[in-house]
Amino acid sequence: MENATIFQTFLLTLAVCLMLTVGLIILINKGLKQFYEKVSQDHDIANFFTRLTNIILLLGGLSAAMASSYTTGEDANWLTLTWDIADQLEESLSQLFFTLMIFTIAFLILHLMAKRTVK
Amino acid sequence: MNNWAEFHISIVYFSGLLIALITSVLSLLYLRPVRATINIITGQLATVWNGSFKMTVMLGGLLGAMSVTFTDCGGGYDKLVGSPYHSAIKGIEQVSSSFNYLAIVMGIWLIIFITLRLTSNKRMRESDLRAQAKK
Repeated sequence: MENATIFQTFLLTLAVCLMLTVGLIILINKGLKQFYEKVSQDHDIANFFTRLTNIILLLGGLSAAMASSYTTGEDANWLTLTWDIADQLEESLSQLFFTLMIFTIAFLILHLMAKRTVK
Repeated sequence: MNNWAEFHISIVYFSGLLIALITSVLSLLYLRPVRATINIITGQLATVWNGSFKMTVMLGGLLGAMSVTFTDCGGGYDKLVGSPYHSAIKGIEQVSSSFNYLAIVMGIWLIIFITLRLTSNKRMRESDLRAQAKK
């Protein structure tokens, strides 16, 4: 299998990972904004925090998608290419999953802190 | 020695660094207005906080890109010479590492800023309560 085919597949899968990440960001954006507005009690600060979170998710998802390596040379065939595509998608999704889990735990702690502050 | 290929590898390396730098700058531009927002969040020493934030974001991106080495364990780069594909993959790895560093740096700053905001909210509320009690 030619290296050019493998590289094109890599870029195409990267584009799919990018779309998945952007889709996830769009999905959670509204809720994030509301949460940050409650925590910060300021519209501008909430916007800043939301943008910061968006960048973190985008960079995290993309970095994982870019880090995966494809089988090349004589060992490469359509089957290894399929596995490599699945690996790339899995890496990106797992990075997003772990980032979101860390955010969820952090938001829980922050929510409790904010509740104490309001009291 | 294949000079063309070595020149190519160096272009890929420096392109990776440039992309890392551009990404850091674009991230900061996307967050605008940074200075005014950090001013509200921190209150005191806003210039220091603002400078530290921008500096760490830029350095994080660059360091991430620089942390990827193009040489193998023996210090050679034979695999990259004559192989644009492997050079490009190394360049992508460089950008990926840079994104990773940037995400970690920004995550740490997000937690710092939220904690600062919550603390200042608490202080404001306490001073309001004290003012009400005096009345």
